[in-house]
Amino acid sequence: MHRILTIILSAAFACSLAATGAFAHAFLDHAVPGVGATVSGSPSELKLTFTQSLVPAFASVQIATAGGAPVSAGKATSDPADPATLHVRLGQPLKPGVYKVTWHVVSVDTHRTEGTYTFTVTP
Amino acid sequence: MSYKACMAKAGALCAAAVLIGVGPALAHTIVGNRVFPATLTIDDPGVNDELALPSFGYMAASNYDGTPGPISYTLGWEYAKTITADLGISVGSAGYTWQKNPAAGGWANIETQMKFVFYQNPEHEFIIAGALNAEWGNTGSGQNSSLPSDPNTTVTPKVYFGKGFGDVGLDWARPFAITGEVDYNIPTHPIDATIVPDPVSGLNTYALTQNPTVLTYGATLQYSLLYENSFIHEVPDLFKRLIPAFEGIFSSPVSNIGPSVPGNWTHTTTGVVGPSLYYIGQYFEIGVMAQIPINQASGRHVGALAVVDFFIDDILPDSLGKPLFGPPQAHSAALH
Repeated sequence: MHRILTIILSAAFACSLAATGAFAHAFLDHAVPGVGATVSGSPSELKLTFTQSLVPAFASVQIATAGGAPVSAGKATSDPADPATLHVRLGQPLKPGVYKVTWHVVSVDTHRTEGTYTFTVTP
Repeated sequence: MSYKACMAKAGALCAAAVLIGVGPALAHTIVGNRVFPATLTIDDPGVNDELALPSFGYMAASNYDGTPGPISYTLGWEYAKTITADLGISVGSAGYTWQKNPAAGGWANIETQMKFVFYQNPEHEFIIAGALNAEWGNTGSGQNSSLPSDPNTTVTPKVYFGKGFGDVGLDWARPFAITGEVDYNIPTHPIDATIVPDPVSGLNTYALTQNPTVLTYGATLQYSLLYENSFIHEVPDLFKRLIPAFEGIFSSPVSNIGPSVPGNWTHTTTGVVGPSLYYIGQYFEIGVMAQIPINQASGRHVGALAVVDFFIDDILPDSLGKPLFGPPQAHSAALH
């Protein structure tokens, strides 16, 4: 029985590791600049990749300074090669400081999620 | 009943006491941006469409005199179905138990449960629910089995809660969450009366066995790397789907206990505590836990629990995985 259980659990664990998506609620998987990251110099765009494919029409991303002042940015657009990824072109170079990104998305199974994260720009 | 059968039954009862976390009570819940995994010692506080197959338990019991007691391996299952977004039913069983010292085996009873979410607040990642569970007597192995099931039905009202700390202002605290469960196990046959013939006198005597009501209570403290990765700072890919936790569950007899008799633990609180780890995959979750007995009545040394839990709501979102009536849970959130 030990052997059978070992095989079952090992196989299940291997399958789960092989899964590239996530459960059917779109949470932020990774971003560029990264969640909580510090980057040197201003990025030209934000890239947000979620755990689930998105409905682009219902996706929005805003960026603001730590003080709450909005930063000019384009509309969030879906990546043609990856429906779980959004791109946001920045309207101006970011000065050194802390920035807050707010996202609202709807996954293809219609679940809505939203959240925020910060990143820091250094000279 | 032979000595061997008696020992097997005693072993089964002892194993049942320490393997309470293996029971069919597994589901995952999402409230706002918080994922409450299907934990091993207690149920999570929501309703969902899921299949836990298998749940596994291992524990070595100890006899009252300190000698090694039965060693049990259990494979169980549970299927949970939503009726509406806030109402769910489930059917399951602690399943089959292989026992050594003495050797025995048998099926546990079937359990059914109806659960209702009274209130949830996505913004504050808070949820509270209640359930009524029935373990149906004599639906497992018969009384002639080497490991018979409980012949009596037990009805159990339950209360659950869950709270994520994503709404607090401290980044280090936001990945934390707690869940809890309190059960009140009420046997439908408080007293069993058995006629036992005395082989010497030839007279019949009555043997009375009291089935106590039991309070079962447990909690989990979770740290979600899933949450930390999405909202605070990114973690390496290997860890971003993990939720480590520390959890425990305890059972205390509260009434109809009978006199304390040397040689048994009928008045003793039993329980297990221990670290656990949950991996949240695309369509299923895997959980493992080291269960540490809190006293000799609870076990001889560290045991183990594990589960593979399939998310039917994600595997079949348009058919079996959605509520029978009404829309699925909104699961929307407005954090920060």
